[in-house]
Amino acid sequence: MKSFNEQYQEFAELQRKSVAPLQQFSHVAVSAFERIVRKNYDVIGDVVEFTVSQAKVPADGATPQAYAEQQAAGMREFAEKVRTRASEYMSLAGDISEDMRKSVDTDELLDNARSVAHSSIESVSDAMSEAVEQSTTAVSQAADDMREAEASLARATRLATADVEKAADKAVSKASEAAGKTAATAKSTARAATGAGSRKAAASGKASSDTGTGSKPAARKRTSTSRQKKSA
Amino acid sequence: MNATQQSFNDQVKQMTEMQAKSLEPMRIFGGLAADAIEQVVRQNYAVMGDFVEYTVKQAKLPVSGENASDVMSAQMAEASAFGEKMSTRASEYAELATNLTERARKAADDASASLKA
Repeated sequence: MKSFNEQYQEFAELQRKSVAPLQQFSHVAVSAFERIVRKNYDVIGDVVEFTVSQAKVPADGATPQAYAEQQAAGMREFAEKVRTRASEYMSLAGDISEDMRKSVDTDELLDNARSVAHSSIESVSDAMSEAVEQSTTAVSQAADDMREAEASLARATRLATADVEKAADKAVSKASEAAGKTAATAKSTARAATGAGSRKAAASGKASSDTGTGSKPAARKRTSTSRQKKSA
Repeated sequence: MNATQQSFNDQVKQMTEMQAKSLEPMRIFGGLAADAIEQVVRQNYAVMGDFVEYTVKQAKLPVSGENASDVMSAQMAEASAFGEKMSTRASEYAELATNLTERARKAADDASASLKA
């Protein structure tokens, strides 16, 4: 895909090509503008000269009659100058239109403009279709990448779940083994205790009939205790 | 009748001369005002000429066929030069005002001296 700078440069080049036929108009227009502005400046200069001459007339110290005569002469001279300037403007307008006609061939200009516009439209449409195709490819590639990532994630999840289940089963079996062992131990202990208790009861019954010492049960207790320790 | 008319003409002429004499001190100020108007108007015309030259140069730059950065640089250079010229013109205006003030003061002194005389 083209970078933004490359696209911008292409766009600027397209603009330059499309505006190139109008450049001849620009040259003629600038030349005309300069001539008109300079002509206006000359006319303003004439107005300045007339104003200054009219302002100086009363300061000459002449009689009112001479003052009026000088003013009238100044105005006649200014009017003549303005008439000359008007004819100069007319000739300037004619020169500018002649320059325009000479410098630009309208039919050729229109043909050039049409061909440039056509080529510009074609290049723009080609660039747009290429951009659309590239973006479609990028989107489908991104979708494939996402599906693959999802499948990997699901596989990893299944594996992790299986591992967890195995570990849990192992732990449960170990726990049940340990519980079984504990239960067996407790049973044997209980049997031993029950056996010792019955023997004791039997021994106490005999002792009561024989009027024996109280020490004998204590001795027997110690013996049964030692047996319990041995069996554990 | 002719004598009356001639005497009337003489009187009018005499009155005109008296008016001219009495307004003589004011004529000095009138001349000064005319000079001031001329100098200021010519200075304004010169400034307008600077505007015309600047405008024409700026209008020619975009169609000169160079690249955009060169056109921008040239436009900036022209604008700086125009600014410099305007500051020069401003100092010229200040100098003109000082000269006219000095001349007005001198004209007032001359008018008062002639009145006393």
